[in-house]
Amino acid sequence: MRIEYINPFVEAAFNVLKEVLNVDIKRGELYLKSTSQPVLGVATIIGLAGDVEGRVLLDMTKETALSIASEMNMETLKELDELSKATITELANMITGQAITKLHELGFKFDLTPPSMLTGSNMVISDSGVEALIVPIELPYGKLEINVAIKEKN
Amino acid sequence: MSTDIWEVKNSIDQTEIVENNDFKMVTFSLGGKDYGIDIMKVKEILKVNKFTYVPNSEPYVKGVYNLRGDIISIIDFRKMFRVPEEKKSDDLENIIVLTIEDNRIGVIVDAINKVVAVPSETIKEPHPIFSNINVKYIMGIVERDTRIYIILDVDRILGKEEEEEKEEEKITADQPYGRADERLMEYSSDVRTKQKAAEKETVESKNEIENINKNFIIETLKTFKKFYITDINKNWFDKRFESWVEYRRGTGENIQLSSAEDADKYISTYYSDYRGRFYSQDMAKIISSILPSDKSGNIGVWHIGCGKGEETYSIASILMNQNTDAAIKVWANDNELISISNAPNLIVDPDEVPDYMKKYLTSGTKGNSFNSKLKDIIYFEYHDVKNHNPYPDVDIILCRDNFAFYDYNEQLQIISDIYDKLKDGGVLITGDNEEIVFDGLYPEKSNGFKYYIKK
Repeated sequence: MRIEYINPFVEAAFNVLKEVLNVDIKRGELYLKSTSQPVLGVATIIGLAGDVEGRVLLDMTKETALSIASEMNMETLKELDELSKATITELANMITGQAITKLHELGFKFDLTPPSMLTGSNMVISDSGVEALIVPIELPYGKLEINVAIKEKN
Repeated sequence: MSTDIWEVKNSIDQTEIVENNDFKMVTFSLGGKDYGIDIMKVKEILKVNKFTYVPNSEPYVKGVYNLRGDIISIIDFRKMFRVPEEKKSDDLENIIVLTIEDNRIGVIVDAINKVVAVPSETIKEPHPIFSNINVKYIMGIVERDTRIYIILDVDRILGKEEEEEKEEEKITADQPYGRADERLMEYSSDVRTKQKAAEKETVESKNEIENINKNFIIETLKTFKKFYITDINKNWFDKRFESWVEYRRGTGENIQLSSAEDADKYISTYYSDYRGRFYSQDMAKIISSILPSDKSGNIGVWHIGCGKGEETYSIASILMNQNTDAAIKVWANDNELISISNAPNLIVDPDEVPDYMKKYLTSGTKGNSFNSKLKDIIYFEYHDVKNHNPYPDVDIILCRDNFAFYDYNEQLQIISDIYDKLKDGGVLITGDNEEIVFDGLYPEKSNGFKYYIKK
């Protein structure tokens, strides 16, 4: 993945989460992954198109998702209902949107697809052959992973 | 109703009596005799030549072969079993590719005949006088259409368990020992084999100690630095070992590596000249002579393990200087995030920049860096070469001092990826202390500088 793409995603995730949750956020060490990997439970996928092809995956456990959704709606949500799902997809949209805006300022043209959310237990995502950048983020409610795979169009 | 059942049962019984050819084998000839191998062990058969010779291997190891991207070892059964070679009209070898414990091994035989099916109960125990092949390796003997087939137990011949058994036995010359594939795997096992040979010939015990020391260093390099000694760097390793022993004797220290710092010191001589530096004017001259010049159209470069990008900028400048009309693209990647993050905006000291690169310098608020004319053709990526490499075919590949940081299987995969991505006639530049033996990549030399051409 191009170096220029990394920072916008890391910064966007950091800024957006800090703004909407108003808590302490810690960023883990970035790393690369290529094999199939387990999904924590609630995964939101946004496709990327334009100069590149790829996707952004926002991954967290159900508990973390509920805590974030509760915090963002300022009410306690106990079920992964329409409102909480819409909240998490919106969060993914905000992060990706801000990253894309930053990239646009740098001269890269990206398009987004609407987010889609997958929930369930024991899910595994296998896009073998794709190398993904993992941005782990520690929140007081648990772990959140942003998984970005971008391939240059040759 | 009951009659029906009886009839069905009866007919089953009858077919069983008539024919139950439950054992299928691929038959072949070796020194004029007929042999068979259980078909379940056979993956495919091939008729090929051009194997890549593997230095320091046993005489019956013909080399390795690239079977559609999989590297398989080729064993010559004629040499292994001391059977005279048959004269052939063409130079293509008949190869049976076997699957032994997840490994693929190709064996060369005189001629491959056909698949013969026999009832397994007709297979008889081998009799010692039947063959040149040790009875241990024979699964049985079977007769079919007036021919007698010797069925070989390939698991015992080429399998791993055999090696352990053999370890304790005294090895006689005509017995194949060890799993050939394993021996190709890592240099450490090669040393072990040599050690064994040394014991046999009762050479001085000094040699043995040296081999043990070498093995130990190979292991500790792996532990401390994830630095692997394989065919690619074993020549460097042997030389380095000598100088290391001398150096440590001089300082009065133990020759073994006891820390990561020791390991770093040991591998310090491995790195190529100009690692992490701009190529000097002289070096640039040598490199420019092996790179394309006055070319129009596309020139693609893939730089694996570019670090902070000094070498990448050098190569890009050289290419820009001598191909003014070409569309040059350089993909440079490294799996070390901190170094590669600095690469796109590398701040340089103008005094350290050689003349041929000076025209690409520009000064900014943070200091001097390269201008967009040069930067725009380079794509720096955070990427690990062992993962999927999404690049188009390129004319030039730089991969210096990276191989040792991948294990043997990863190295093979990387080399075959490099081979795939390099255009015909393309140039591969490796580290000064790396030697690649790969079918299709031919070593060349220019003013002492080593590189490879894909033919």
